[in-house]
Amino acid sequence: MALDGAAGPSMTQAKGADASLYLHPQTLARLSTFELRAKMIVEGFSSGQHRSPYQGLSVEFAQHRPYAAGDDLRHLDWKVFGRSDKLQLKQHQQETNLDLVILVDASGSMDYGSRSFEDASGLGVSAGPTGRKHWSKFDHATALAAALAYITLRQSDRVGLVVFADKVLSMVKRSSARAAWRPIVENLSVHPVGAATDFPRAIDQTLATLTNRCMLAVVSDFLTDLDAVRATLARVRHARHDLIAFQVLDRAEIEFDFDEPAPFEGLEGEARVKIDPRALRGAYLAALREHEEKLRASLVAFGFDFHRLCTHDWLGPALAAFVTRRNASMRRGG
Amino acid sequence: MSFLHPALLAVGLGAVLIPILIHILMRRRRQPVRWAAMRFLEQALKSQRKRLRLEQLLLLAARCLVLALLALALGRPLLGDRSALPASGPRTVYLVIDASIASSRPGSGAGTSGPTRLAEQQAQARELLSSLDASRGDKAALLALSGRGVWAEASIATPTSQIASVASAVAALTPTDAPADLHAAFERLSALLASPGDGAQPQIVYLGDLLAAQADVSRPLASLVPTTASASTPAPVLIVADSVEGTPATNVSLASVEPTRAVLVGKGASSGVRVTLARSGNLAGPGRTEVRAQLWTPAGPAGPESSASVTWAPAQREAQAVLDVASSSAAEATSGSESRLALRDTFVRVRIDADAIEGDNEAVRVLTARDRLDLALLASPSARGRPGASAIERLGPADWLELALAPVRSNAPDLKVTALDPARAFAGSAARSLAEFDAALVASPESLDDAGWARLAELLDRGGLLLLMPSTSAGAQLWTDRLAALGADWTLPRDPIDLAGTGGEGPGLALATTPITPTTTNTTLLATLGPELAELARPVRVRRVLPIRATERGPAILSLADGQPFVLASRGKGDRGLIVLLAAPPDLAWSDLPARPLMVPLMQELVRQGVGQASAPISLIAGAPMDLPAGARLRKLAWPGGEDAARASLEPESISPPALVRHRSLWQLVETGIAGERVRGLASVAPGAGLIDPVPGAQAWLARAFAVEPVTARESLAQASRQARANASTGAGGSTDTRAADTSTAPPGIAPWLLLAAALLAGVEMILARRFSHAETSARPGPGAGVGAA
Repeated sequence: MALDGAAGPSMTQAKGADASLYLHPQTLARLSTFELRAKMIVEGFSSGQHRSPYQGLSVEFAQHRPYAAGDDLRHLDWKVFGRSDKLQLKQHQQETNLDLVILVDASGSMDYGSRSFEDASGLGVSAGPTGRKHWSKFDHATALAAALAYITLRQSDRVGLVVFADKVLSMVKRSSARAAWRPIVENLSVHPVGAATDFPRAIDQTLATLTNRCMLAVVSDFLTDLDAVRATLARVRHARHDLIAFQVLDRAEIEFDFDEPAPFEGLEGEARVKIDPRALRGAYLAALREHEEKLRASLVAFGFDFHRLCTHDWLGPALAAFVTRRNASMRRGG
Repeated sequence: MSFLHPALLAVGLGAVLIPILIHILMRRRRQPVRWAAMRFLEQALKSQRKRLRLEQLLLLAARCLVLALLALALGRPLLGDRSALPASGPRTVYLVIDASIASSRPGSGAGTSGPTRLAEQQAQARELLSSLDASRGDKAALLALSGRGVWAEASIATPTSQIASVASAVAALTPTDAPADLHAAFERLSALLASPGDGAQPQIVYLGDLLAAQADVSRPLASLVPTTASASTPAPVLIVADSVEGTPATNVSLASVEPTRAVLVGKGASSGVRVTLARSGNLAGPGRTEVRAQLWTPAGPAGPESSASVTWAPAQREAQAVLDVASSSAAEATSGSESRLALRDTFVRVRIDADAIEGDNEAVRVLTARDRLDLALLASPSARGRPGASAIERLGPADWLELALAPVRSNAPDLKVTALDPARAFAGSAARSLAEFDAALVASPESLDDAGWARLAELLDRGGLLLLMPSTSAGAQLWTDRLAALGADWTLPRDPIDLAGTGGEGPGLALATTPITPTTTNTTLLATLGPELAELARPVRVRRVLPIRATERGPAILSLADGQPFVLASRGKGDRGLIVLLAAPPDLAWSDLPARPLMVPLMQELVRQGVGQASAPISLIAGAPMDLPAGARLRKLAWPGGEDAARASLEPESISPPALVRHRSLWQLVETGIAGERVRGLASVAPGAGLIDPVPGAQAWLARAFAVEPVTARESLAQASRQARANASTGAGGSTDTRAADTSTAPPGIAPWLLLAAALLAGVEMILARRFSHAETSARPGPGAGVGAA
């Protein structure tokens, strides 16, 4: 399999070979633009699902009910009449437009990545389009965000984007126009800043702009105070919005498999500490596990979904989760 | 502690710095890791910080210790070298050898019939002396340790270059019956070292044991270090023999022998003897000790032998046995005035079975055995009955005394009372001496003239008993002024006082148990009356007394209920004889004592026990300083029955203080200016001298006096022996360092143990390092799940 990050025909060939590879970071790292990257993701995802993501989403049968005088005859189910000689009306789920707001964390902690860009590409590409030499959590998050936006726009739903750190850094208003994808991809090119995450502030600022019921897709590492997150989730729930959280972590963060003692320096201004990672690994993993459990419990308590992504893993499961969640959300909304 | 290879030791100790340097180098600046999940890292670090710090310190300490132990092992520490004599320069060796009673026990591993501890120590001393060389200026002194105060006679306190004579003196040492007193010995040694010497460094070699009877570890020893010739002089070398090696032998000692009566009067009279036994050494098993007691005179047995058996339970240390001793034909055969002195040589001899130490298996106590006691009753006619009164009221104090002392008429009474008129007995050509009497009972002291008081003083000088009481006929008791000349220090008023008041009845008697002089006896005059004394004394009422104030020298042995002394006793002048003073005469005008049941036992016991205690035998303790009258000396008597002639010849024939008696034996006290030889001295073994229990911590206690660590003699002497051989091979006075020359044959010392300890510690370090590295928790997981799942 030969993939050329700049050539479209090669992608066509690759699509037929193994679609799931398009969702793998190694593949994504070779693609130079977000646009191309998102398209690859979605195409790969739909191919991997073996069915079109565009079918059956808008018209869904709900139930039969007996005909009553005055009902529109167009909704009669003639097949049932032919079989049972009874007049039954087909009822369909009401279709509504889904407003998706994608929130991407661009704080300092998202700049971490343990894998070099060169290693990830395997083609001598030493830096990504923004000049970063490693495949960061933010890279992974933007790939996911672009893919989500792409899927949503292809379904003629409205999609908006919020890039935040300690505040909202940039925002793209919701739109269902195909041309809306361009500003979304451009905004995702924002380099992470060194500021700490202020999750409540960013959500509150976003909520202030929403007037109708939306689905929020938050892509972040969630390395922040969970009490504040929990309060924010309560406000989201109160506003009757739906939410799906994607926690993006690097494999080094998940496994913490360092061998040599070294000073560790925070990406968000934390003080430097000298540690022996082998001695602290157990306690670190326990703390990480505890944090994740609490985050998951908070989300589930409000009826939201939670998914953890590793920067070394492909995006397929995350996209599948999103589609499932979207459908469920639309049903509830109907 | 010295080292065979000090350079290697220094290098090795320098290697201890290696782990520290590694630790410092590992802290070099590393490229910091930019990290996102700092909150979890800080949280983990906060919970693990103390444990990690402790782990690091433990590891560092273990690594440093491993290297330090290796360094010590490389340096080849030689504990024995510390006490080996220096190889160059003149040496002055003070050889301190334990020649106490404990040194007579079998040596280590010798069983019961092998060489004694002293013999072992002598062999060690010979070996040590052989390493000295007079031609290079070496000197030696011998200090034999036995008893307190002075060295044994065989000692050579001044260092001499005559090494051979010191060796001969060592060979001539024999075990004594005296305990060793390390405190006194080291005080004397300290004084000896303080005197200016010839500049040579003094070396002290102690060959002996550290047993319970020798070392009181609760008291510090005199320090020897500061008293050496100069402050810059190194600490004297010390060699200490092991305390007790292996399983010690078992030894039973006669801790005390206490006759219940001081005098036996009459044929077949008997006395109880309370014998206390002390067991020491190996107490693991049970045991059985036969105790035999018998009356003896220097001529031979004076009564039948009685015996008792003591059964020891495991771990039992002390036991008591009570035996009866009785006089028989021997006392009868030696009756008569000519043999009176010989009779006073009677003593109780108690023996037990042979065991580890022979010297403490026998004890003797003076016990006077007599056919009868001759008493002189000095009473004027006024002390006799008053005519015209009733039958009871006619009796005077002298009559009551006679009745109390001889209540039953007998042809051969135990107490023979001879009445004398004090106004006539000592005057004119028929003046009598009191030499034939054991005691004088003075009922009319106001009638005595100067000659009479002089006779009483002689009686006391000879060890007799003087019983005094106020006169009933005289108003003022002017005779009381004479008592001070007899040696009593009572404050004696002249006028009696009435205690009865208007009621007619005075206070009753109370029991007092004050001993007369604690140094000569631990029983009171009335101890034999026991608990009955209180019952007998209760009904007695006293109306009038001479208000005497008791003193420390003359305590009250019977007092009234209000504390007023009633009967007092005091030693006479020069601690000779015994004065017993009644505060009221046995007269119904003074008290109702004569009519009470107490009268007879009181007077009988005062006279019998008083005579026994008045003779005041000198109790000599082997090895203890003697408290003899000025100018007195001791003359040795033959040991009864010619037993143990070898032992009897160990002491010189005559001893005067400050020389010590060091063997149990019989001695006769010879005093100048005293008619006759009045008392005997019986040298016995000090209580506890035969206890052979080792003292825990004695080595450290001894070390504090020297500021060095004691070592075993065996190690040190082996080193000294090697040194002597090296001297012989390189020539006397050679300046070669024999310690270096002897490297090839040097003992392994503790180096192998240090190596073993280092190896063990290294193993522990590996386990710790493995555990503290958390390698098992940092094992990498398998390939990434994401790719694999795809």
